[in-house]
Amino acid sequence: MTSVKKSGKKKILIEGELTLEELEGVREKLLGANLAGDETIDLSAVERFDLPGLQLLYALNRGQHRFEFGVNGARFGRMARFAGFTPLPGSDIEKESNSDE
Amino acid sequence: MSSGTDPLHTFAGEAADLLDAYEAALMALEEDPADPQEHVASAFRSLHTIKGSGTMLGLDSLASFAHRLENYFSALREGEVSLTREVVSQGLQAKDTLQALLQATIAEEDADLGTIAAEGEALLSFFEGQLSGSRVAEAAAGTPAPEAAGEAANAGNGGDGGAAEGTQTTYRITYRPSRETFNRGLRPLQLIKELGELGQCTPMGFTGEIPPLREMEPTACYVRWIFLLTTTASRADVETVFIFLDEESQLTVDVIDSPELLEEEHEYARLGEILVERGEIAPGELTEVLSERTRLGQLLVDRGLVDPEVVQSALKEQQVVRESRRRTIQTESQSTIKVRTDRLDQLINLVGEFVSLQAALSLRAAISQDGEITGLSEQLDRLVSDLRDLSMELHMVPIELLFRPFRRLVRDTGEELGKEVDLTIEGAETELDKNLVDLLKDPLMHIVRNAIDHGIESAVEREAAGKSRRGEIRLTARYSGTFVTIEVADNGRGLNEERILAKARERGLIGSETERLSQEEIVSLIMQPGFSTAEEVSDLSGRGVGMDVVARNIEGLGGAVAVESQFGEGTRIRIRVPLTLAIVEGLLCKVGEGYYLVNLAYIEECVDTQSLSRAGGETFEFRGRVLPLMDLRRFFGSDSNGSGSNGQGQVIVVSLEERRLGLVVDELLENFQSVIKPLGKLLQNTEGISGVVFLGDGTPALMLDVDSLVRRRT
Repeated sequence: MTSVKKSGKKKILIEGELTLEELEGVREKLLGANLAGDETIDLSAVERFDLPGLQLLYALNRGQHRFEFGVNGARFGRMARFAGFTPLPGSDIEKESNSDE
Repeated sequence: MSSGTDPLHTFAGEAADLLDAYEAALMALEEDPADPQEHVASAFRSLHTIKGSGTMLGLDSLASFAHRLENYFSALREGEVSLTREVVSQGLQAKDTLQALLQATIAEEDADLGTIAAEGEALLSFFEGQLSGSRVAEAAAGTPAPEAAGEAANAGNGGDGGAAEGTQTTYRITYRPSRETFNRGLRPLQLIKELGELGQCTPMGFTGEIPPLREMEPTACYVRWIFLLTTTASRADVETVFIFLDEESQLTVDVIDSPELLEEEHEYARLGEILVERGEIAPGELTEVLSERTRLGQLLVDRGLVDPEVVQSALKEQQVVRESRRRTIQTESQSTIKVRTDRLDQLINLVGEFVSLQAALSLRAAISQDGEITGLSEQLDRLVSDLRDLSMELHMVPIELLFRPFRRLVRDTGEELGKEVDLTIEGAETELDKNLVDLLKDPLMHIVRNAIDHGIESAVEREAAGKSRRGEIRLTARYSGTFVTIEVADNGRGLNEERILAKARERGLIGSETERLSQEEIVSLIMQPGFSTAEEVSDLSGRGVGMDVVARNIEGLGGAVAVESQFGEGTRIRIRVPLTLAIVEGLLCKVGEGYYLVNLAYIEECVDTQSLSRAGGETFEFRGRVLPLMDLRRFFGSDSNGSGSNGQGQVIVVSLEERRLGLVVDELLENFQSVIKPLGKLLQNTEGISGVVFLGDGTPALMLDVDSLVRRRT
């Protein structure tokens, strides 16, 4: 189960899975959060994600959002590079040595 | 930086080879017009490579000339223009111009470059006049036209085989998944993984079409890819990876680099060409943007024609292919390297000295009777022998290198003299010492010019004599033991013995008693110094160098020239030269107190004088034949020890073609390999001696000139 929470005034926390099956719900929640477009999206609590999930982040990236990957930075960055995408700003950063993606 | 690694000099060598190949292709086109494609492609490739490398080195005059000429051959390849004899003639002249531009470039003669380029304009005008107006404009501007870029795209798509076994091909795989891809369970990342298993895969994903969150269908696929895959796999193997795509997905697999394409184009396409080829921008948009002097990628992005990531991916493609080509070229250059001939000559000379030294050591070891030294000497001898063989092999080149320019020579000379002449070449694969090939060029050129100028009749004369209109010159080469025989035969009018005799008498070369001269001796008179039967000196063969000089030059190479001729039927001139000049293996013998070396290539057998059956006078019986004897003890005036011509000794039976001679010496010593040194001034005119070698203790041994001895005695 994925949750999208407002975490502070300008921060959105996504937790759980960012996979194909969950994306419809994630999108609805994000739209329901009435995003101004300049919030920070905190992805540090994402447990699993896939290519459609990554695609959704690129859609978010079309606004002014910032991303916080926390320990997931290297995992997101690695998948983006594997797919031949330009990694999202802030990803691609190794914060934990045991990243597994 | 030494000239050995100077890119300009390296290019000069390669360009000379390419120009030779270009000329050969033109000659072949004329000779075999029925099947022109291969030759047109070869000429095109040569020009294309000269243009590409010339551009990289900043040799603008040369590159520009090659580029404009290449345009014509490109059109010829596409069947837009047709080939005529005049095109071949002009094409050959264009080769001369390119050669002159190359030489002026190397010599850094800017003034000459300008003059040559200006003179070459007339030639280029000829070729450009053959093309349509629009092509001419594009060619002169040097800018690839949209159509040209389109052609490049076709070339990329061309062929269905993809990589041949073991060769690397780079594919551009354009994959646009359908919107339903994710929902249908297709996993693009898995495809990337599988492509990676086929070879070196560079995925370039495009996210520019992903809409903002509010507009997007989160499970729809908005991304697309271009993959660059360098692999030995075939196109079919590559396509198999995508076998489960749904119908709405789009896939194209293009070959963008392969050994064949590399041969045609060392530099890969420019950014604009890549984008047009991929269909990212229209040719017209490229042309328009190119007219502005700003970085193309930036301009395209600024105008909203493409996303920055598209520009980046095109630049990535350029980088991947260039890198792949650099690796290929590096790999190729590791398997073959070019070596300057002077370095090779130096190596051969050193090996020659090594061989001489080893021979000396071997002699000393034998004298010392020290088992250990003898053993070491024998081991060294084997190594030296292998080294000698290998270095000799390095110096051998196919005689094709010598013969190739004669196609052009015969064509041009025939045209100049209004004669129809065909050249037939046989045995071009025969290998010969590179130095000999260089030294034989001038003598052979003189003989061939002579044959066309004085031998081959005009078409009218030939028809009147019942011959075919076209004369023929045959240039052949073949091995004869350790020699190579080169023949120049023509089916022209042959030598007129009466005129030769009259001229020889007039020049005082012979007396009045000519009835004893054989036909062979009469025709051989043309090789006597000062002999010439040409009624008037022509511009072609009468350049003050006669057959006497040719014969002397060939003899100077340790070879011989023989002439055969039948009046009315033709002439055959046979040149016989040793395979190599560098090292000679001979039989060391003693005559009186002196040492002599006889080239093993001439020796048939050695016999003891005591077992000799004298046949009267200075002859002996040998295997059922009576052969002349020449006692070297008497010839060199060294019979003071009393052995004299009747004393004991050995006979070395030597042969030159069909002629044999027995050389009487005092003692046979052993085989001896050495570099032959020229004779000093005091000895250089000594009859029967052609050089000198030095033995281990520095004692000189004279090299017998078997050729002259056999001719003198037989």
